[in-house]
Amino acid sequence: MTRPHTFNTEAVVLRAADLGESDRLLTLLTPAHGKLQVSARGVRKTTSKLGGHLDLLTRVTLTISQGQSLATIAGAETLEPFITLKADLKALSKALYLAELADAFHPLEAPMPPAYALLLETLHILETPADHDLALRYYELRLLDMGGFGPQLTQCVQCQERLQAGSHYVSPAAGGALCPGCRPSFADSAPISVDALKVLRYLASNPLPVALRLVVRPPLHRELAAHVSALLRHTLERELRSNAFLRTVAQQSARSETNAP
Amino acid sequence: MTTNDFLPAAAPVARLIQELHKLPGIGAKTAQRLTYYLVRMPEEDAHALADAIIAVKEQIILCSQCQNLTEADPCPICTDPTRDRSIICVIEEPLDVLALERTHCFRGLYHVLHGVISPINGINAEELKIRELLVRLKDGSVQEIVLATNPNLEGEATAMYLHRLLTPFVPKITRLARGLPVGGDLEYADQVTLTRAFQGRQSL
Repeated sequence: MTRPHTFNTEAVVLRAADLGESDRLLTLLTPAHGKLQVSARGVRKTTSKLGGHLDLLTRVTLTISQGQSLATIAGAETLEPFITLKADLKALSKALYLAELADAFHPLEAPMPPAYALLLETLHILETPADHDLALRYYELRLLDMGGFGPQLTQCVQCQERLQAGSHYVSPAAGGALCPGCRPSFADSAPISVDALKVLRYLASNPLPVALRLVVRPPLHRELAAHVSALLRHTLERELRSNAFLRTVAQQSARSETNAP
Repeated sequence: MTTNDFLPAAAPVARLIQELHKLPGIGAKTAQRLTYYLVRMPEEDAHALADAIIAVKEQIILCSQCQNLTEADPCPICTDPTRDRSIICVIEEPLDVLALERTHCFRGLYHVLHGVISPINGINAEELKIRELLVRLKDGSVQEIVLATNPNLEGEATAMYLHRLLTPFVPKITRLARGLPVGGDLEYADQVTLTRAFQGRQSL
């Protein structure tokens, strides 16, 4: 898409890497231009006017000027700093996971406005006491769906028969649920409980506020997380690196909760 | 980029260009310019540069206590009898020691993490020198930990993680103040910085 030399856009900062003496290379998600990589000059200096506006996971409005090779940020103003979620390590570890997932999923400069809205909606949920894990599963499923990788969950992917009561399986390679008869054709198929299947269907067909009304117990959460991350791994062809930090923080929180009087 | 990309330069020249090009902030053109400067340099200067590079690789080790880069283990700061051993300032990189030492206002000891938790770049707590910090806290002589990681998201995440982890071992854990920089301009300050500056205001 051709863009004017200088343009304004809203964006969420997904990733930042140091560049040169005092610059940063930022990866942004924008509604109208998709994922962009831009350089932010001098933002590592303490007196930088832009630096404070361009921290990770900040919603900003930007003026970007297109250079010969790399676009540069000419102006930035914070719209939403997400202070609440950044003050809570557990919520923050989940937000960082979302940022990595968005970065991994979106190709450069492929606009997908609903995905931008979805990211913001999920970040807002992380600022509330709602079920954060369920919001993460919602984000993952919806993102897969928007990219055309959404799992088929009501009928068998192979024989297209409606799933009957009994035992069910999912296979990331097949792209969804399988009936017991079709299961042997896919080596990566794994059993899925009826509850997990129902939750996934509910998440896939309801808006986020409605989906969050579900009450999901920890064992079911673990099962959902395992199935959805298997789907993601298959689509992205790699493990997300922030998973390790999610686990570290969850373990630390569990320990400090058991030690608390 | 390979040596072939720099042909028709003579092989040793192409090799030097290639090596310099690996350095951060050095592009292909700069690497070529530096190489031709080095070629014309007096021989003793070139040897001094080469020796200095070899010396840092051969003689610099990590201090077994503070994990800073040093020639002697423990490092001069850790062995200095005038320094306050009850307070440890935790920082991200060895360069931060230099910045803090220039202020002459901190007389305690340091601990260098050699990085910051950055999940998106695959850097988790295990990759940092946190275990070494816990070892230093075992004897109970440390009364205060100052968390001096950078005031950005990853630095804050690291500080929050360390705060939770270290609470059982140290009576007092502090974080460097965040607010307006000297020479800054209120008008351009972002909300978070201004909020922090307000929260941390002090009576005159």
